This record gives sequence, structure tokens and C-alpha cells, in this order.
Amino acid sequence: METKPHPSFAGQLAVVFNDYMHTLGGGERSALAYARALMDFGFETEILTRNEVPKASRIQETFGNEFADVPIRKISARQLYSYLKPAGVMVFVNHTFLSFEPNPGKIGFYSQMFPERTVRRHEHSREWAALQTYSSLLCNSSFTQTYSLGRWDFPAEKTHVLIPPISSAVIQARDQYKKFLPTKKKQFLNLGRFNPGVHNKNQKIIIEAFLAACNESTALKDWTLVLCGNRNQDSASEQYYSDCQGLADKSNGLVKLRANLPVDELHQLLEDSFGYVHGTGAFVPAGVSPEKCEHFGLAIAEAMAHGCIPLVYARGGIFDVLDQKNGGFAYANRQQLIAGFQKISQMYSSEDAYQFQISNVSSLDRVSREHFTQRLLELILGEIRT
Amino acid sequence: MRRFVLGPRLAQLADLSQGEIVNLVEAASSMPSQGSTSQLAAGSQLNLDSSKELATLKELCAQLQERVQVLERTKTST
Repeated sequence: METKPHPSFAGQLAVVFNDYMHTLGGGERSALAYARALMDFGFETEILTRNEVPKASRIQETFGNEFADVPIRKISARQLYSYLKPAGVMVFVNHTFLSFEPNPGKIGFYSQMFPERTVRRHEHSREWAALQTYSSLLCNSSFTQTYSLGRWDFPAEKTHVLIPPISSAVIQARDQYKKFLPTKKKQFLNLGRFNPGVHNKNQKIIIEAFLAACNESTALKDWTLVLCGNRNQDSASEQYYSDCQGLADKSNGLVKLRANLPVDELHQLLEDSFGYVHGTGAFVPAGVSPEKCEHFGLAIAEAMAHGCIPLVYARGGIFDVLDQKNGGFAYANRQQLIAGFQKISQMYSSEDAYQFQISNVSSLDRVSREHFTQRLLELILGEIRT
Repeated sequence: MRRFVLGPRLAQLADLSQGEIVNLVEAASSMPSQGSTSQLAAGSQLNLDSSKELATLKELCAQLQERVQVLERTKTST
């Protein structure tokens, strides 16, 4: 996709602030996407961080070539506002999780990954005052927006959803699948880091439910479950992985764990798998601890792009793009998770499955780079007009 | 004074406790018909106590909205 530079932005400064660039997680990919779009509009753009700058080769290995020319600079300024205010920044994007730096730009966007704490006018006056300097709060999903409106005192009319784009390579694959869907195996896939912490991907719950579903239904004969993800090095994560491996070892080959896979093997698994199952948030009741859920759910979107039929916990941001009536299944408890495995297996090679796959690959336009860039441009132009 | 009615079906769907419903209705009753939340918080009719009520209302509204969405998503599942 080619974005034409906007004439009034030539030579103007844009800054994306992210203190965690060295971690190269989903939030950092999103920061790079903001910078990429601002560069495409014609802004002189850079990402600023107060920690180590990741090497270009690491960024490329992690996210591909899309961001190869995005400048990232380390600064030592403790007070970002006083450092940047004299520079005349036109667009400032605060993309640092729970940062309450005031906006030093003419236009300020606060990129909201999730409101894990409250910001109330009377209880948190410093943070509240800093937030009021921003033009808009840009949430990565409707789920995040709902809880932002509930937890932060920030004007609702300035709170928008702007979903970060998934990789252009995935969208390109999706465009091919629109014309010709890959042949699928009788296989469920799960993607997620093996980490029993706050953002637990709940692989153990998934394995146990899959094995229970296999015991209950002949439709799951010949089906396998493959779980992929990086392994953390801390002892709790190691123990968690070991527990999952123990369950897989007792499954007579029905369950397989594949840790730290290269990207091309991962891509092949996505292409091969008929079903995709996701466990983040399970089974935390609706309305409780939303931070434990997927605030958007990038892995689910990528699976949808590859023609997998998703089975996901009924909370989180993915429902901005997943129509659970025509594209997949949502579960709220263990019984529904088990039933979901069975329903998807019964759809194998059916016309219904084809309709679900087509619905899913088509629904991902909203997470394309093209959509993201267009929406960001509209927001900037809207601010200029006001 | 505006009145907000929480229908019994919605209350049941959302699994609200009696205390939550009372809080929600009490806080909602002081909301003007229009205006952003920041305008509400700045409004002369709201004092510190009522802004706390508003915070409770906002958090509850988010939880309520999500509970209803989850029920809608899973009502056809077994």
C-alpha cells in the first residue's frame, strides 16, 4: 500500500514516545506502526525512548521489513515536556504504558493499551491534569475503550478506537486466502507465551478441555492440538511449561508443544490448522479483572487471516473483528469450551466452515495498515480543523 | 432530576447485586441529560461526594456493558 505525503505536513515534526522499545512486544509494534504512518504522511518522525534502542536486525527479525527505516533515538531527558516543547512538535503520540507525561505537541494522541488503574479528577489530580493536555485517547479495541471510559476521567467524545494494524505480510497472505483457501488438517492451534502471570494464556485449561472433548466425542477422532509459544526463563514459567508438557506426554500424541518456533514454521502451522483456540482470560467472570483478558488479541486475528476457525474466551477486544455467530465460537465456561472443540471438528470440510473462513478473512480489513493509516489521518485533520 | 430505569431482565442478565443496582440508580439520577463525563465532573451541581458516585457509576457501567455483551455472545452455546 502506498500513502501519499500530505502537503501541509512536510517538514513538520512528529514524535512517538515509547519507553519499552527494547522489549519488542505488541505495544512496541503498535508504536512502530504509528511512526510508520506519520512518516508516510510526510512528517519528520522519530520514536523516542529513555531505555536501550533495539538493534535494527532484531526489529526486522521480530516484525519483518515494514519498519526498517523508522528512526528510534534514546534520550536522557527526565522531563519529556520541557525537552520537547521548544522543538515545536506538531504531532505527539504517547505510546508508553501508563505514562502521564503532558502532551508537548500541538496535537497529542494518548495511545491506550489498557487502563490497569483508575485516573480520577479528584483523587489523581496530577495524572488527570496531564491527560487533559491530549487531543484524544486512542484505544486499541472497544474492550479497552469501555474500561477507559469507566476508569479514567477523560471526555468520552475524545475517546476513540484505533486498532493497531497486523503485519502487512499477514494481510497479504489473507488476500491470497480470499481467493484460494489452504487445505486444512484436523488440527487445533494455540499461540501464546507460556507464562502463568497476570496475562496467563491458560494452556493447561485448553489442553485439559481438549482431552475431555476427545473423550466425549468421536468427531474428534484423529484430531490434534498444537500449542506454540515462547518460554520465559523464570522458575514459575518453567514450572508451568513443564506441567503442560506433562499433560502432553500423557495424551498419546493428541497434544504437542512447540516452544520458541521460527516464524516460517509458525506460518506453516497457521496455514495447516483448521481450528484455533485461545485461552487468555478464561474463566474470569465478565466485569471482573479485565486486565487478565486480551485487550485486542493479535494472535487470534492472525489465525483468522490464515483461515482458522477461532474458539475464544467470550471477553476481550477481538470481537471488534470476530463475528462469533458467523466466524467462530465464544465460550464462557469449561463446558462451552469442550462443546466448542466438538462443534468446530464437526464443521471440518463443510460449506459452513467455508462461509466462516470467508467471513473471517473479509472482516480483517479493519486491522489492515491501510485502514489504520486512513483513520489516523482523519484524526489529525480533524484536530487541525478544530 | 432525570430518572433511569434498569429493567428487571437487564439486571438479571448482568447479574447485578441489589447494592450495585441501588448505587447505579442513585448515581445515575444526578446525571444531566447531555455532556461529557468531564463536563459532568466539572458541573456545579456535583460536589466531591457525588463525583465519587459518578466514578462508581462509570466503573459499574463498564462492567455492566461487558456482562451483557458476554451473555449475548454465549447465549447460543451449550
